[in-house]
Amino acid sequence: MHVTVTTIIFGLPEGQRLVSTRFTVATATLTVRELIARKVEQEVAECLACERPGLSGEYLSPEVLIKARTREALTPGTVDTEIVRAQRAFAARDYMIVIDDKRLFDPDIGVTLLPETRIEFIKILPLVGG
Amino acid sequence: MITGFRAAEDAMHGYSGRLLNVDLSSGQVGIETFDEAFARDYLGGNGFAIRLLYERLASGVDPLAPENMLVFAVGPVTDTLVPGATRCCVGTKSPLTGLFFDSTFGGMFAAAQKRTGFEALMITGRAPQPVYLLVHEDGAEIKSATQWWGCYTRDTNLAIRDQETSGTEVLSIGPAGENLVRYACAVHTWDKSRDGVAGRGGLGAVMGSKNLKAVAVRGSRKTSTADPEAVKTLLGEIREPMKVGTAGLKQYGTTILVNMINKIGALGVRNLQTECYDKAAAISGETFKEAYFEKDTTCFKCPVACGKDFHVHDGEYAGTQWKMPEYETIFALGSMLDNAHKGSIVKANELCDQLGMDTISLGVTFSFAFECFEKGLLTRERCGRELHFGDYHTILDLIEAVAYRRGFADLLAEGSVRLAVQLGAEAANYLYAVKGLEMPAHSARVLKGMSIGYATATRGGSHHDTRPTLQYATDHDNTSPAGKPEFAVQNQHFTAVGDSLTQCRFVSERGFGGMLNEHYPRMINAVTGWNLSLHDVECIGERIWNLERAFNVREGVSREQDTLPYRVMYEPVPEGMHKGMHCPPEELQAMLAEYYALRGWTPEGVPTQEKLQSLGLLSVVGALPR
Repeated sequence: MHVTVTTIIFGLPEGQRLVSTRFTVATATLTVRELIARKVEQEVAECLACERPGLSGEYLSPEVLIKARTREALTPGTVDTEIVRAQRAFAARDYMIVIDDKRLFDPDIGVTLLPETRIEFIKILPLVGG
Repeated sequence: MITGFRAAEDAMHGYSGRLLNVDLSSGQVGIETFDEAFARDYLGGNGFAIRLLYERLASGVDPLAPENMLVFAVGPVTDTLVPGATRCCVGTKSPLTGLFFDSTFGGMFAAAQKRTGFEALMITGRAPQPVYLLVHEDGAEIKSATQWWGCYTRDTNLAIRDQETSGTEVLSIGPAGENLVRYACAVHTWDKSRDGVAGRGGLGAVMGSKNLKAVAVRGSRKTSTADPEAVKTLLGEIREPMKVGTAGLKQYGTTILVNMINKIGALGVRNLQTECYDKAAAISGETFKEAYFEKDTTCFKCPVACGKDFHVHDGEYAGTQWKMPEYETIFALGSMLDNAHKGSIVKANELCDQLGMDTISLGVTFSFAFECFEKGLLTRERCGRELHFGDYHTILDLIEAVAYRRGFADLLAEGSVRLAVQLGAEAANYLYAVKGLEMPAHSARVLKGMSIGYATATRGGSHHDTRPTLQYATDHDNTSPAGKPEFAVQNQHFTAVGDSLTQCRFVSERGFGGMLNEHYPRMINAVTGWNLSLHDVECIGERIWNLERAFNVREGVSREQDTLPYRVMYEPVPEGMHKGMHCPPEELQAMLAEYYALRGWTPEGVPTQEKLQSLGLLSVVGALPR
C-alpha cells in the first residue's frame, strides 16, 4: 500500500516548510512507532541515493533546523541512528503526528491507513507573537 | 498620596526618581519624587501605573470624565543596554471595561521619555481647547493643538515633531479618539523605523475626553547602569536562544503565526463559528511578505526587527504603503470577517492606525455585528446597509464611519458588548469578549491555559495577561485543564513584571524566558545595583497583579465577571484538529476555584487581608468588599 506523509515545519526563517515522503507499507495497519521508522528509512534511503535534498527534519532541534538554513544541510546518519532520534523526539513531544486531524500520542497505538488517509508530521519551532 | 518619599534623583541606578503631574484643567504642572522603596515594590511601567491610579483615582469615576488619569510610565531598563527595553506603558481606567487597563507600545517614545528624567507622566483634567503636552527635562508645557484636531495620527505626529526641536518623539490620537470611540488607540510615529501603537482598552478615547491630541517627549538625560559588565555577560548568554526563538519573527513578523495556528485549528473564523480557515493561505505571513514586503523596521536598539513595511503594488488598493498588519489584525480584519482579500487588510490596517482605532476590538465588534445580521438580529433598515462576511468594501466603509460615529456605526463605536445590549438576549451568545474587551486571536477553546487566563485577566479579553506563547509548544498539553490555573498565576506574574520593566514581550519571552527565571533578577540587579532574588521578583509580579485585582474589585468585579463568552463555554469547536474542544462552565468553575485558592483570594475572587498584608499592600488598598 502506498503512503504519503506530509511533514510541516512552522517557524523557519523561510516560513513554513512542507515536504512529502512517499513509501509503501506491507500492511494497512501499523503502529505509530512503525510508521515513524518506515518514514525515516525511506528518507535516509532517498538521501543516500541523492533522490531528495535532505531529511524533512521534524525530529531535529530548532537550533539545527535554523542553522541549517536549507534542507540540503540536513544530512542523515545511519538509518538506525535516525530512527532512534525520531522515536525519542516523538516521545518527548518535540513534534506531532496527526492523522486525519487527530493527534496521536502513543507510539504503540495501531493505525489503519486508507488511500485517502491524511498523515502529517508537524513541527512547531519556537514562535512568538500576538 | 505618595508621601514620605524623599527625592532620590541621581541616587538610584536605573531611575531618575521623578514623576510628572499634569492637570489639563488648571494647566498646572508639578514634579514629584519617589524613592528606592517605591521602585523596588513596583519596578516601573505597569507597576507604577496601577500604584498611582489606585491611590489617586476614586472608584466609580467615569473613564471619560476629567478625573480619570492617564499614566505614561517607563521602566528601569528603558534606554539601557538591555535589548527590547523600548516600550512605554500607558495605564488608565478603560472606557471599554471600566477597569484598570495598561497598554504598551514600541518605537522610540519610551527612550525619549526616559531621557526627560520622568519615569511616569500623570495626566488628569480636561483642557478647554485641544492641546498637546510637551514634556522635557524641566517639566512640561501645554500647547495648542487646535490646528491638528481632526487630523490623522501620522500627520499630527510629524507636524508636532517638525514644530519642536530635534529629538522630539510624539504619540497622538486620531479622529476616533476625538470622537470618543471606546476602542480608540494612540499611535507613535517613529519615522526612522518602527511605529508603535498603544492599541487596546480605549486609551485614545481617554486622551480625546481630555482634549489631549498628543503627548510629545524630548530629553537628553542618561540612565545609569550599576554594573554594565554584568548586563553584557547576561546578554551573551541570552543571545543564542533569542536568535533561535525569533528567527521566524525576524523574517515575517507576527504574521508567521497565521498558517501554524490555522493548521492546529485555532484561528477564529466568521466570528468564531469555526476555527479552521480554508482561505488562510491567502492571508498568511508568507503570502503577505511575498506580495508586499518593502523593508524591515525595528524599535529603538532592538536586534530582532519584527516590524515590516508593506507596499501594495497592484489591485484596488495599489499605492497603499503602510506597516504590516500584525497577526492579531489579520485575525480581526481577515479570518473573523471571512475576508481573504489581503490588499484590503493592509488598507484597513492603515485606516485604523490613521484614524486611531484598535484593530482587534474593531474587527471583533464587526464580526459580531455581521453574525447578528446573518441571524436577523440586525437589519438593513437599522444598519443602513447589508453586513456580509467577506465584503471588504463594507469593512473599509465602516471603519471610517465608526471613527466619525456616522449613522449605525455610532453603535459599533461603543464596542460589541454595548451593542449586544441593544440587540436583545440572543445577541449575547455571539459575543467574543471578556469583561467588555473583545478577545484576540489565541483560542479560548483550544488553549486551556488561555481559558482560565482570559477569564481572570485584569484587562479582560487580552493575551498580554496570560500569554499563549508557551501553550503552542507541542510538548505543552493544551487540551487538559490540569495545571492551567497554576500556569496562569505564574504567567500573570511574568507579564506584570515584563510590563513593569516595559520590555518587549517577544525579546523577553524568547531571550530571557517565557516565565520568570533567574535571568530577570540578574537583569534588574545589573541595572539597578539591587540584590533581588527570583522570589523577590515573583513577589513584585504578584503584588502588581493583586493591586490590579483590588482596583477591579473596587469597581465591582468578582467571580461572576471572571467568565468566558457563551460560545467558548457551550459551542465546541466544530472541525479540525481540536474538534470538540470548549471550556464548559463546570470546568471553568473548577479552574477558578483552584486559581483563587492558589492566589490566596476568597472564593469570590477577592484578595484577602492576609494576602494583601503579605504583599505589603494593606496600607495601600485598605478594606475591600468581601
